[in-house]
Amino acid sequence: MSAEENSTTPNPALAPVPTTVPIGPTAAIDLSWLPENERKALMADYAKGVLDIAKKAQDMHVDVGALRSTLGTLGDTTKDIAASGAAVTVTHTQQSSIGRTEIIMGNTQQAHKGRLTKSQTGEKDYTFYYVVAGLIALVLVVMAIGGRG
Amino acid sequence: MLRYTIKASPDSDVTALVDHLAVRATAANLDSQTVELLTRNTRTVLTALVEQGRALAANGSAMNVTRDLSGPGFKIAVVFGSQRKRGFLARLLGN
Repeated sequence: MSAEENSTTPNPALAPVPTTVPIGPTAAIDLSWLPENERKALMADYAKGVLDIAKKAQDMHVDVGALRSTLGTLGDTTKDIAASGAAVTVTHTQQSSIGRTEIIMGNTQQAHKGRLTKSQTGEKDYTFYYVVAGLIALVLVVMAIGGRG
Repeated sequence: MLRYTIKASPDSDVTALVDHLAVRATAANLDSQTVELLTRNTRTVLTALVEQGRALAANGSAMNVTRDLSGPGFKIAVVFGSQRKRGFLARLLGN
């Protein structure tokens, strides 16, 4: 009961609802003419948008840092092996909340062409199943034609 | 919605590529914070790719990278290739 009362009673410790909202580094919209409850809803939406962007920025920052580190490590490994005269192809696939990155490097023809195989990208290769399904379909067609004759 | 593909190679001018991205992102009505976020991160990624691509090329190696990024209002692909892709006609003529 007291909890309900508390939820409807304004908390004097909270800051007042702002009367302006920034729309750029130097510009802001004056909201002082709006009723306080409408301003409150608008500011809540604005704050949510700012938090979404901040989270995306943090995710991107982490992802870019990981990519730079990976490029450095793979690059050094590739250079060392290539310098020793051996053939090397290095592949790497990175999937995160913001997207997907595929890397292939080395001194082989495959690395120069830059195409990752299905297994290298982590995708499932359905070629075998398609071939089997095609053969079964072919057998069924032959049986159907043979049954008529 | 911004749909944009950045094609880069070890010879690419990172500043020019990022500037063009900023123009396209602004034209697509993305807010200034998102434009800044995209350009800052793309600059970092492209710089790392170009530097590493040059180092590998000097060593006789190659690097190819594809990066797909998506978020609210944008879908961006970065395609980095150590070797310039030749068109059908160029290949046919042997150039």
